[in-house]
Amino acid sequence: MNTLSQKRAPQFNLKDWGLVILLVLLIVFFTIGSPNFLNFSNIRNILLQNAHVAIVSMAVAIIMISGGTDLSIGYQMALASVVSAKMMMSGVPFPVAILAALVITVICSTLNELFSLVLKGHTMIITLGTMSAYQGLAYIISNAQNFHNLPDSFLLLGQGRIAGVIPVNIIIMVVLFIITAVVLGCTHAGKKLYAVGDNPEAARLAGINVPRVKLVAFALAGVLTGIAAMVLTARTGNATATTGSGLEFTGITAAVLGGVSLKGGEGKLWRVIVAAYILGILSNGMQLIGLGTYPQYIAKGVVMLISIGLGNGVFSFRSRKKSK
Amino acid sequence: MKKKGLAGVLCAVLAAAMLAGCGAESSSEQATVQEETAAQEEAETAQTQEVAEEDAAAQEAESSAVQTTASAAASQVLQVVEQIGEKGEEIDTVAYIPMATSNELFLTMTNAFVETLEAAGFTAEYTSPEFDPALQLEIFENYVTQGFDCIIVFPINADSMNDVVKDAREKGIRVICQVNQTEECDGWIGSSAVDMGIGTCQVAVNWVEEQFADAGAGEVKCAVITTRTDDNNSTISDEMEKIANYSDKIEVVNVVETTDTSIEAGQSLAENLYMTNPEVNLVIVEESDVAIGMNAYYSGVDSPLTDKDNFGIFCNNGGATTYDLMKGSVDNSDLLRGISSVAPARYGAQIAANIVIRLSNGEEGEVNFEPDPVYLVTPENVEEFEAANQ
Repeated sequence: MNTLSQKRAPQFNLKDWGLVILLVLLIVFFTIGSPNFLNFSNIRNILLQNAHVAIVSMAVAIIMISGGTDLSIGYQMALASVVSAKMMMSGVPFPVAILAALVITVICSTLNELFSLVLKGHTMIITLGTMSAYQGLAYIISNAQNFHNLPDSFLLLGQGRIAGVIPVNIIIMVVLFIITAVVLGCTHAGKKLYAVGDNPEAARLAGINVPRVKLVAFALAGVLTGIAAMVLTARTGNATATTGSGLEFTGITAAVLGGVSLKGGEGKLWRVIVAAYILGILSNGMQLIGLGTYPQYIAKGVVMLISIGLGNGVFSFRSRKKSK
Repeated sequence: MKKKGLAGVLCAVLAAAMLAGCGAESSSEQATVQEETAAQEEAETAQTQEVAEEDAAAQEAESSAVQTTASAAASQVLQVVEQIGEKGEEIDTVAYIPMATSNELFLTMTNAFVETLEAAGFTAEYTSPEFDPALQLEIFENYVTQGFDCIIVFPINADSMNDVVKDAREKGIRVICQVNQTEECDGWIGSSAVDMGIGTCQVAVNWVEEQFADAGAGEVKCAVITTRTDDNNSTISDEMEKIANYSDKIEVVNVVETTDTSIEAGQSLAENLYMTNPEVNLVIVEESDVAIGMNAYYSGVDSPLTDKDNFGIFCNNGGATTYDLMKGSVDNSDLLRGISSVAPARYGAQIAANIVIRLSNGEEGEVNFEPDPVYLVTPENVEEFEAANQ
């Protein structure tokens, strides 16, 4: 028989859809476990509780796809949060304060890559240093104070609803996801980013300005980090030097679970978002079913292991017609 | 395939070990177990009545304790603490090691300690471990090496500090513990964690009794938000869970433990709590930042509450933000209605400085092991309390 005429057997790839299946299974599990899980209010809660996490995860994913890692994202958020809050409480209009926050995070993020280029160290090591610096700055600027009584108009970013139903922060997250996904997947700049992350030397030989691409990636991540900081600050109505602290690890977890390669050059944004919401559903669902704090840690670990296996195609299977 | 097989075998071994650890018994032990079970059942029946009588006695004792604490706190509205005497020759340099300086409460306390000690004539400095017990040990040892005459420490984990404190005292360095106490020390300052927990219950109960004067038994539904990351907050949490013992109007419908004490975690916790227990109208919280986050939800733009008058949040300790929220609770723009608190920072700092002064004048033995009073702070006295904390 002519092998060219043989049709390719259908193949279901768990690597691509495993996370979605896991998400659905978790929803089913928690729906059975708690009558309060699957209703509009709770689903909306899950979406808005994790909107800023999803935005941070996108920032982390961009950096990781470019071949880097940024451990200072949480403290960038804290710095942006306290600076913008201090400005607003001094009477500065909130759009200016938000702009200042974005400028701060873009500068911080870009500096991380600049230091990496100049000092010739991996960004993971560089950001171990810069995270301390940004943390110190946040505490000095805030004097460890908590800024609250922020303007109502600013709070709408995190607490407002469109038509009284759809939270503003979810819309912000969705818009950012669409823009970022288009940039990464459909533009020349996005393709360069993947190329640089996959093989910097080959990219350089192909004529790509590798340092510039990486700097732009970090700057873009900085924009997303600043927006996440503003969304989180507006949601809680409070700004402290610990705002966002630790979120970089949640973002890295979501990115890795979503299939972004630690080596760079690989990863799909939609899977990162799904992974971020798997983590969010776990936290929400486990509280709703009354699971104790420490069993929650075990459950989270088990689900993460399953997610990693699914993301790496360990559980993939194929269906093939046998040739005669 | 081999790796998958090995992973599967390891998981099976782990599961089997867990089951074995949960107490699988061999057949030869079953007969003995059955005999023991029968004997146990008899003993349990006899003990049931005894336990019930003990419980009743304990509840009565607890109620008495609440009354004592409440009357003590209520009658001691901001007891003024003056400096006693002058600094002596035996101590010149004092180091202060807080738990952290990363929130308003701890930073205010730390600044107050250092400034008060310096005002008393000592050379004082501080280093913060930011809730890291290992780092706190290291900081303590460094101060010993540097030859400080006296170290005031707020132990994150008192047990782990016993040896280093003992070594320091053997070298002639005086050690004063704050709140959590090591086996040996020269002095102790702080409020009893038990009193703090009871105080949180009491300030909430006072509000319930006033706001729900005509309520029947169990009509006020309470959620208790606990944190158990160190000895102190575990003890406070234990006491808070007993709030229903102090008022029969209160029924505890949910106890939620959290290890994430951020404001954002408090807000998410409140959103989820409303899903499971929308009937809750009283929340007592161990950590003030969690309470601030819960307040942000229940009083915020997205609040699901229709009757904010009859909803209250209470916690223990706090800083400027909690004072502001309490002021805001008067018109229900905020719903944090009271806290139980340690002494204002400057008062606590003066108590510490007085201990150091007594030690510096040659006083020996264990100096000052009486707990400081717990203060019940409400919108009525918050401004006075806040002024004392400046």
